[in-house]
Amino acid sequence: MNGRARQEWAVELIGFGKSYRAGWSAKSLTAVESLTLRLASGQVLGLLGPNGSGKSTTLKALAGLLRPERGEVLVYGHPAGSLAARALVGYLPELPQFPAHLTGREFLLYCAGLSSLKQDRTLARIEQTLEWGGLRDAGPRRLGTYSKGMLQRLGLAQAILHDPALVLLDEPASGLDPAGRLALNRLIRDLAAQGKAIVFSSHLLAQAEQLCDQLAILGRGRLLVAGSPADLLGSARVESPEPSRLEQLYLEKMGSHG
Amino acid sequence: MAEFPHGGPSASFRRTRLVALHTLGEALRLRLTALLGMIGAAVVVGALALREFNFGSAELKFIGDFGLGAIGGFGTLLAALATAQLFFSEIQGRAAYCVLTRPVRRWEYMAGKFIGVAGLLALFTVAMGLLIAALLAVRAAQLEGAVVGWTALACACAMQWLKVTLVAGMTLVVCSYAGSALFASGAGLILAVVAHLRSFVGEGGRFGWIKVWPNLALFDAESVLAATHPPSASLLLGCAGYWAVYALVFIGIASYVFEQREF
Amino acid sequence: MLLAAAAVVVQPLDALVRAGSPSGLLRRDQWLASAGRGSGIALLGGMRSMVANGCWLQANLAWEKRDPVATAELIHLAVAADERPIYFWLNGARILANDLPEWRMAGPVPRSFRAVVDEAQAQAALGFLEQGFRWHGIDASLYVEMANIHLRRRHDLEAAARYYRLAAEVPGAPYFAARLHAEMLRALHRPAEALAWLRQVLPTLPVDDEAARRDVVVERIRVLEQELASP
Repeated sequence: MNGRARQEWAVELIGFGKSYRAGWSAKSLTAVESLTLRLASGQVLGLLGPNGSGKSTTLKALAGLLRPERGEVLVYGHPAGSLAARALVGYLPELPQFPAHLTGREFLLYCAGLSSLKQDRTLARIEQTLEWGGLRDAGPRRLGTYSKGMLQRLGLAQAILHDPALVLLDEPASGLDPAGRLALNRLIRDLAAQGKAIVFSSHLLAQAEQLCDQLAILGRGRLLVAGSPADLLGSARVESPEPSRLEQLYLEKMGSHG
Repeated sequence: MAEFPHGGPSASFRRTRLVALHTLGEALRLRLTALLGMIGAAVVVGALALREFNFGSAELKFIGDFGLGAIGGFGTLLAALATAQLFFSEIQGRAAYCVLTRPVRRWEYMAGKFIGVAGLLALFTVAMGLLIAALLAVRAAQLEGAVVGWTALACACAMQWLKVTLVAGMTLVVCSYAGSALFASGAGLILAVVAHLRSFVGEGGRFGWIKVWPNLALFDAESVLAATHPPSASLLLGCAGYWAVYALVFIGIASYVFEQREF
Repeated sequence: MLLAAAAVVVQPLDALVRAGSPSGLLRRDQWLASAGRGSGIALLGGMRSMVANGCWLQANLAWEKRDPVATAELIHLAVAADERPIYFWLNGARILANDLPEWRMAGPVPRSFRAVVDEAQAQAALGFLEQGFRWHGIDASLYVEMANIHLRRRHDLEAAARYYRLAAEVPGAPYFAARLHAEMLRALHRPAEALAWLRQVLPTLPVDDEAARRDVVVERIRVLEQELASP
């Protein structure tokens, strides 16, 4: 794996570090400390960890919403946040709130225009992503009438609308009912099958164990353990969602890390 | 896969236009817009009460002044409050992340925000201007010897629009680094006051540095309306050029600061 | 740095706008005159006209109540907020000179007291108009108003004649100012000066402008010539 040329990696985090300062005189808070991860096209990486472990920070760095203080963050060889990188990325923020006065279609049309999607493909693509999100009938409705789950699915739709090579999903299962989560799982598998790279953060360990080719467990900004589920769990993946051996490993790691 | 966004100027223009139209659409749905529009209209219509004073043809001056004052005053409030609210609602709701993670340059986003708000202020100014014109027409017909300078009125309204859009620009600069809509709108209004105080500053002295700030007193709409002759081309060109320089400066500063901003 | 560069770039535009704009800026003494009366915030927001109009409306309400103190104060406040409308100066001076004396003298008063009050109010109105020259700028109508006050309230023909002449000498002055100067000279029994003045004015009057009343000036020259010719 380490022998791949740089540009072949969909995601490269090399010693990525980021700190925040809470206020003018506050001490610096380390959000992520020297994180090194790589992901190839067609693979799914799950970022796991408790709140404040650096999952969202890592996703935002890949999306270009923040700059690394230390190390490098690359998307298909381009610095994350550059125009070239952003053209290849689709991002779903955590619990997004969209303009209430727009309809689902109007919002996706807006996003399509910003992504320089070709006009002849735009409408077809919008319908396709609405279909994937189970929002075909809700397309003409105003976003102010959408439920939390519907907004989350619309967020997914805008993230994949322009057919990005790298899909970044921050807590994609938030607000989704079990049927929605199943549809999400199906979508992630389909995207991976199309050769896209997917990075998502989640608290749903069973989901991560099922879907991911690579897992990274973060704690207080540090990478505690990373690898494929098989490597980490020492056997084939468990098919049934619960009970989860990954969950056991996770809890074990959390306990030892304090 | 989507096209790589090299697009050049036409793609930049398209993205900026999209953000501007989106911003204008949101702005027109703000309760704030409706509220300030209604209050402004009420102030203008309230000028009809001046009939009681029997000023004669001078009443038209008062109607014009009240109308332009309403555009200036409520327009300034709208410029600062709407700019801040539109900016922060997207940031805090994270809808802005869906835009900024796309191949949209930060300056395109800021320019689009400014143009969207400028569009809102233009609609506000035109609506109020038409209302003032209607009142002036009605009273001019009723008062003997009363004449309305329609060109002067249109130019005066345009001057007020130029002034309030610069207030929006100032607020946008604050938005680029501020943490809340409240701070940004308050700071925007204070900066508008500084811009009016600018005309007090003499050469040199402790406060000479204020001279880098635009002088909003130059956009003197009431004088344009009150003058016996239509405004000169030099006045109009000078105001437009002055406005253009500072509008570009504010968008530039806001874009530069916003470029450094992290989420 | 960008703002400083912009300030340099806009300097010629600033000059262009000021050259084309009839407006002046709020002076420090105007600001002080308006301070402490609740209008500061509106003035800071560039709403001078609104503030001035508001003060003028309040002055009218005080006028209806025949309140001399409030009326005078609000008139001064109106011009302190916005000195640009000549309307405030002219009507303010008329109120100060003509209405306030009557309000201050309710009921029968000795003639000597009436004379004192009339003179005091006339001087107050003249001082107000002097302030108008400083804040608003030179305007023929201000001179005309001063002349009217000297004539009607102070019965000072000499001063009236002087101010009608000053008005006539301002470019764009109303034509009647010159004629009134001549009439004052006649009333002061100085017909030769009146004749010389009218002869000087006549060539400057446009032939095609009815308001110039050349016929009236020609007639007055003829009358004065006759007057001076006869012993």
